[in-house]
Amino acid sequence: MHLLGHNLPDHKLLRVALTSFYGISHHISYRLLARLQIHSEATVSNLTEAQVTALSAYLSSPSTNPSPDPTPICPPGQQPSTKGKEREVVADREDPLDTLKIETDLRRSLQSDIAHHRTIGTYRGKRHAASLPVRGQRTRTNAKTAKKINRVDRRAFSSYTLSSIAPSRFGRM
Amino acid sequence: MLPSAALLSRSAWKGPFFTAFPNLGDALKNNTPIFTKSRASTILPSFVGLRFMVHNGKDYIPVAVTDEMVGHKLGEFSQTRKRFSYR
Repeated sequence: MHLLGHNLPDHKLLRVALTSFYGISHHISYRLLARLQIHSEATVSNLTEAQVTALSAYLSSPSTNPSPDPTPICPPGQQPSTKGKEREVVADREDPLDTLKIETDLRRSLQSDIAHHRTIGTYRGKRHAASLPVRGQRTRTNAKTAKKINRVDRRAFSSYTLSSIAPSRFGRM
Repeated sequence: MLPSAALLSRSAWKGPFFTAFPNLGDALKNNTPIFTKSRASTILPSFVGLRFMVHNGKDYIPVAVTDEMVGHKLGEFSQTRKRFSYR
């Protein structure tokens, strides 16, 4: 199934297939399925039309999708209380899905974070420009990833760029 | 504003760590740099426009505070290491 330019192989679990999006981890994927009320073990081929629509609606603009009201809880055989609106909903944990950034938005915010450090001239910004590790790692040996990626314009390194190099290794087309 | 890593791990009730500079008003008025060794001090909004001379272990490095720097530490702008070069 094709979703927003990504090929999700039909035989895969949906929560695994969704991680092909840049910015969706296994944890986020799990939370997303819970929000959309899709079974966590559903494969991509199992999805109904409505579920696919809900999924693509969320992924095309994660931040503008409102989080659903909490499901009213009641004992078996009873109707959920209508006083649910009056009950205070305590948001003890922030939902990562409300502020999720994926794909281009995430890449852009990452670039702008580095650009911020560059413009104000912090140590971190200078390390990025010097293509050296930013967080105090050793540089006598190793530091291979930083030397590869860190530039003034940081080279994006992700599964996206990998799959464009070797598409055959990443699932059926 | 991007909080630096140290800010993210600090308890909110403590507020940011900063050094109270006694001559802040004078320095802003006369445009004289403040010489300091407190590299760990957070840059507060009241520091904007000031000039600091931040110690890097050897010298005092000039740092002119702009409003984008608020939330960072003074030491982030005063490098402690020389760039490597062959002699």
